[in-house]
Amino acid sequence: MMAGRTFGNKLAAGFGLTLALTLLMTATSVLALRYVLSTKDNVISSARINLVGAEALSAAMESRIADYRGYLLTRSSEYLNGTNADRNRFLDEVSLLRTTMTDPTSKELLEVVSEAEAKHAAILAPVIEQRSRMPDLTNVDQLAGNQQVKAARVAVQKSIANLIERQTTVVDSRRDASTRRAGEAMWFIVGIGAVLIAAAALVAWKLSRDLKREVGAAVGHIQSSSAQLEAAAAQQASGGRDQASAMNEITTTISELLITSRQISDSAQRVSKIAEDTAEAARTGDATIDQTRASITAIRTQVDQIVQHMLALGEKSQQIGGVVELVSELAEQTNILAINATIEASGAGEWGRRFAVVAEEIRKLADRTAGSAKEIRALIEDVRGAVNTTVMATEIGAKAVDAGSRQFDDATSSFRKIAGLVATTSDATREIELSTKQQTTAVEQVNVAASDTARVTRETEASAVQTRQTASHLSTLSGELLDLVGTGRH
Amino acid sequence: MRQYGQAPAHPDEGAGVVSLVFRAGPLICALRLDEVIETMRPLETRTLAGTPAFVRGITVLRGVPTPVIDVSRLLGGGSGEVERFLAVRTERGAVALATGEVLGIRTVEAEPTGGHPALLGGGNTRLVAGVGTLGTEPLLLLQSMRAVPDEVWEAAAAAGTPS
Repeated sequence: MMAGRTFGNKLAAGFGLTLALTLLMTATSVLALRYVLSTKDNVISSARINLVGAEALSAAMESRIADYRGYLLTRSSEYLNGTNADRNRFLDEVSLLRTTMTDPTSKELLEVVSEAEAKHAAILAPVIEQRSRMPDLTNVDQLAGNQQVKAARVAVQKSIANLIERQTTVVDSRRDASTRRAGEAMWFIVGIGAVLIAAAALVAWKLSRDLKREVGAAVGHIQSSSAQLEAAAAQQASGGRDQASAMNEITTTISELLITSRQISDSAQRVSKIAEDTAEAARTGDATIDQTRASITAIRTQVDQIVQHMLALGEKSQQIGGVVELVSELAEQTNILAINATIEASGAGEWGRRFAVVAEEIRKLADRTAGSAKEIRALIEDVRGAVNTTVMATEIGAKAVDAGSRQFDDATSSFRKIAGLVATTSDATREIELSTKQQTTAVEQVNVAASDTARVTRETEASAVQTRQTASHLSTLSGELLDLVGTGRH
Repeated sequence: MRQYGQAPAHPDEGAGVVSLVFRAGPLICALRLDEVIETMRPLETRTLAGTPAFVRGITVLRGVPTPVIDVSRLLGGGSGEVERFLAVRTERGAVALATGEVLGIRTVEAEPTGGHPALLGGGNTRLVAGVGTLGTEPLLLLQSMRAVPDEVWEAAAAAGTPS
């Protein structure tokens, strides 16, 4: 139930429990004392009122007896008044005792006393009356009823003695009961005190045990933590020294980095200038590319015209071939006709022989014409072959021009990409230049920060040494606290 | 001896015969000019059944059915390219000779007696009238009158065309 409570709570609960038990013991002791007091008061009141009242009854009775004896002797009214007063006092006392007595036997004995006194008074009254009429008394025997009075008086005195004895017994018994109850109350208080002592001892034992256990464990933890803290502080101090030396190296490196960064900035500036020059050259090259493209287009047009002219030349050659065929045909016909004319002329005498000579010359002309036509046909074939070759070569050239144009387009595209990349490079180098300048500034700031860090590291090292000393002191204090708690652990 | 293609300065030079010189396959042949009627391009020829191999068939010259003799085959030179037809006179009418190129009119000097017996003997004796040269090549002077066998004429007549 106390698990998880703090030790202060446990301490408060223990003291609270002890306080409650103390209060309980005090209250019960008060109650027991009051009980004993009331019992004793009963005894005292019984002794003081009832027993003393009974003794007063006896004294009043004895006083009445003495008074009425004096009256009987002297017939003085003083004694008569005295005995009447005594009787009144007796009756008042009886009335008082009736209200105060609780014991039934005593009440019965009181009633016996009252009845005996009434009987005694009834017997005494005639005697007193008798004496009042006697001026002189010389002898007691002159009075009648003396013996009855004596018997009544003895009865009254005996009943009173019984009452007193009974009251004495009652007071004794009540005293004994009161003493017994006082003893019981004393034993009760002793028992409560024992319980209180046991509970207080239990609380003290439990608090001590918890104190030993929890505070001991906590102090043990504190001790081990102090040892760990000490070791950590030692490591931190060592690390701080290493860090300080490392920070010195870092500071040196950052200084070198600063120098390098400035060199990079200068180089970037030069690269930016070169990139701008390159971009200008690329723009000039762009104009050259446009001119070259126009030249290639002109070459393509010229090549197309060459092809057209060559094809026209081929057609003309074919037409020439047709004419040559016609000439060849005519030559062959002429050849045949000349031969036939020669044959015809051979049978026509001298004129025929002359005509045959002419016909032979015509045949020779026709042969030469046919030969020339054959040569022309061969030449035309050569021309046509040359034309075809030229057309093919020209078409190949046109294709080459087209391919060259496409390649030039590719080269132009590549060149423009290069120009764009050069522009991008120029922008990038400007950005690099700017970034390098910013980097230089940043490195300078880092240098300052590194110097601050080195200083803080040295301070941290000093703090670590202080922490180690404090941890050592704390460990010692933990050991002492463990000794104080009494766990015996060190 | 004159070179190939060289014409005589005069037709009457030497004791030669004025002839038409032409090619027939690998051979060079000549015909006396008075046997030749005319020269012409090859005409459409129809083959004749039952004729010798040298008869190419029959054609129509100037409206007359005429047998066509392949001179190269006739002389045993094998089949040659036909470039010209020569119409020649025979005893039984005109005959068309299928020849190669006509080389021209030459005065051919040939041995009319036959020359070497190895050339002029045998079945060809009645075809070759003499042997000469044209340049470095031999030249056969033909006589056409007996060139066509009788069965050829019969076959030509049987072709249904009256002479």
